[in-house]
Amino acid sequence: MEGAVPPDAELIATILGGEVDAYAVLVRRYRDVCFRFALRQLGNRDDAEDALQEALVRAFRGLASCRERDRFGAWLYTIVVNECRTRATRRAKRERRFVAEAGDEVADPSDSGDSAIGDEIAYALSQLPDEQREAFLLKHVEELSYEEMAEITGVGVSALKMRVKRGCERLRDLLEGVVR
Amino acid sequence: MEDEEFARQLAAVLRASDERPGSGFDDRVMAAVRAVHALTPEAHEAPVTPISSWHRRRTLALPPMAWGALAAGFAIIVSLGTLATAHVIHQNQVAEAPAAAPAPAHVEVASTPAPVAQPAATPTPVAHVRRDTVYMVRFVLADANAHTVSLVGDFNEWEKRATPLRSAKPGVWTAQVALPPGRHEYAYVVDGERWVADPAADDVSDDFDTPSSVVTVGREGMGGK
Repeated sequence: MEGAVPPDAELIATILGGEVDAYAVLVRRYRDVCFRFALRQLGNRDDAEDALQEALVRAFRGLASCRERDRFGAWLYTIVVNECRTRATRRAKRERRFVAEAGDEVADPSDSGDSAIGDEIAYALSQLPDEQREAFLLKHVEELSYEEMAEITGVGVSALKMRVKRGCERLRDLLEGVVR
Repeated sequence: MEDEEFARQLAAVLRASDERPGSGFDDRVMAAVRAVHALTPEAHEAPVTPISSWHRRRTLALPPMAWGALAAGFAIIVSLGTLATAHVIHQNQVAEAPAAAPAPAHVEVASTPAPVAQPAATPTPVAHVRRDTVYMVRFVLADANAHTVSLVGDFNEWEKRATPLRSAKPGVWTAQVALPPGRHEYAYVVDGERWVADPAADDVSDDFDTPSSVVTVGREGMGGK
């Protein structure tokens, strides 16, 4: 028989009441799905873990401002998406600055833990512009609606649809002959 | 094949891989969370009294003698408050450290200011260290022969199991730790028993000649010595 699983809102009330260790339950509940997005978005495990850790700490710091406590997961996802954007931007600047050392910091598909066809897909994803990759992952891998995506990303629905469409087209080009 | 079908196939492959954060991830997050909470516990407590009740207008009727006593009490509170403020400023002046050295290559830092923090209206020399800020500090050790590496320091009570480093690439070990501003002593423990100072920083030794290193975290900059 399974023990009762406290809902997010109840856990948040407990944490805000001073029981900080209860936050570990929320970490366990959402870390895998958030990590999967961060890993695909950033392209390597180290960056993904660092981004997720930072996002979880930020979420804790701002927990009192989480208005819809029963939708903590969506709120956390917003923070993760923003953290990934920040890191991707920072990385892009670093790569431009150290262009002579190109390849040193570039996402390595073999580092994302996949093999065979997964490697090809991970590499193709890494070739997309950040905003197209983000939109594709949220729509098709995380299976969010466009309305949910708009809420999380702050981007309009029509712009998101365009990003997903262009991302798909680019992936098809890159993966021609790999995915049938 | 339509876009939708193509995307569905791709997504199925991406979802199938069971990718999770490495071991020790939850512990690292919770250590950082506890560090944040220790610095700003009030920021994570829900308000006990609804805000609206503070806005409710109240009328207080007191006899003339009571008003005199109330005024005297208020004057005492103001005096005590002034003395307390002076004491805090004095404490900060005593605690103020000299500017830190430039950051060495072995550590990276990113600050995470608290959302509740408010900048001082008038900057003063004693207000530049924010007590409610933690810094994410990345520790890196290169050791191709190590099987395990952990970070010990005054921030984790020198506990060997508290902060394991993970191998980002062969022979490169990293950990990211939330640290409050100030000077922190640390060292690495290789394979559970070999205690080594950070080769990228100058050594310091304790009373038992055990080598360790120092990282200074703060708004002025960060460095090891």
